[in-house]
Amino acid sequence: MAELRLYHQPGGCSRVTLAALEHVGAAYEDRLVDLASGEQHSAEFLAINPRGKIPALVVDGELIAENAAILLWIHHRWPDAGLLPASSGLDATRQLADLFWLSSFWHPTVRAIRMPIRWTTGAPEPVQERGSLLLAEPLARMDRLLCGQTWWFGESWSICDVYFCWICGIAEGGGYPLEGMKGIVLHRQRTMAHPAFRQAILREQAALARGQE
Amino acid sequence: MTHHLKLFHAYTACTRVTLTALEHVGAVYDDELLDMARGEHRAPEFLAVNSQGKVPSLLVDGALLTENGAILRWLDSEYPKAGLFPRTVSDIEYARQTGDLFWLSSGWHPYARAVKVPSLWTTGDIAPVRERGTQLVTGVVRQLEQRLAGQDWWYGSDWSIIDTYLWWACVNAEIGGFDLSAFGGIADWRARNEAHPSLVRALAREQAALQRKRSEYA
Repeated sequence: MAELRLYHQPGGCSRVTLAALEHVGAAYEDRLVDLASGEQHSAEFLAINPRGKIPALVVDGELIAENAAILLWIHHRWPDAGLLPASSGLDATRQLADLFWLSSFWHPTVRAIRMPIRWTTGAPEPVQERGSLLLAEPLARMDRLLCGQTWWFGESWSICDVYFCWICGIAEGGGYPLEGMKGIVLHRQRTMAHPAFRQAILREQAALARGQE
Repeated sequence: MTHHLKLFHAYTACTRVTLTALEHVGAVYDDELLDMARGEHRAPEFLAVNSQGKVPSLLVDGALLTENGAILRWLDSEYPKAGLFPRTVSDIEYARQTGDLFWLSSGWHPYARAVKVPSLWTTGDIAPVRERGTQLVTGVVRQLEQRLAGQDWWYGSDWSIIDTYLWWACVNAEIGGFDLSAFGGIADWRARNEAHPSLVRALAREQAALQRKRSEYA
């Protein structure tokens, strides 16, 4: 079996990667990267991921970067674990499209709400406001969808649920009100109660405890 | 291939990359350019195709595929010998290529947007968003320049669709006022891209669609 090491930051989108590794039952090491102190820009970390980003997964010494690419790799290595519903055909392409949507629309947009200084050298408020405007319609659409189905893909849990749950948490952390959206609120509760999510949180806590020693 | 394909695209949008891929694999396809300035992407006719009103939208025998990176990967799997991506020898290498697509769609693309259309990221003054976008684009352009120091294309000696996607992001940032002139390696690579037959045909196809649209409104 391959030797895996994940570089992550508790609370970051690497929580989704942790949940995926936990869900498939992979054996892996994990290392904290402290974004608050700029550790991602340190020479040590840039030697691992020259783009200075987390999550970064090192597989037998080779780097895989970008969260969704890592999730897909895990899915293909553990095809029966149920990380994603499809493995081939147009359904697999649509599922890939969902991962692109999550990472290239939702993720940068909630960043505008939670971390507006990533998109401006000026005042954060107008960027936050724009982020909220961008989010409103797709979020309402997802809320309607999740009022009628349990998970992102319908009947079965997938890693897209964890990614979306994380995105909603970031939006809420940036002050976007979610409480009126029953579909989304209940979906978050379900996702956070799922074993993969709970194990990811435990793994983050263990990493933090190690870091404080 | 027997699929019936139809691509919805927009002038200068990242659909230039999708068009290049379709040309490169030699697909037979219909295409329709949407006039974003006239709001055609929000019109009921197009919302019936894609309720999100986004391009690229590719219809495959009437079934909708969205998201540029996903469409590029689908075309690669349908036309595996066409060379949209270099062949890989391991699943890790394949994942790294897919990672490059995600880097483009979730990094380069929104960064270039901050430079070219900063109002998409703010309700206020656009100058500080453009300034931040310029910093972000500089970071990724430097990575591209470094990589091109010893090789002609992103993956080495052979062109791939990643080069077209990177080309599109660079050109878009430049349209937004980003100064590429300090990057000599990028200038040479850009000229190679613009001479590549698949991109040349894609831009001709885009131009033809634009002319059709103009005569429609004339």
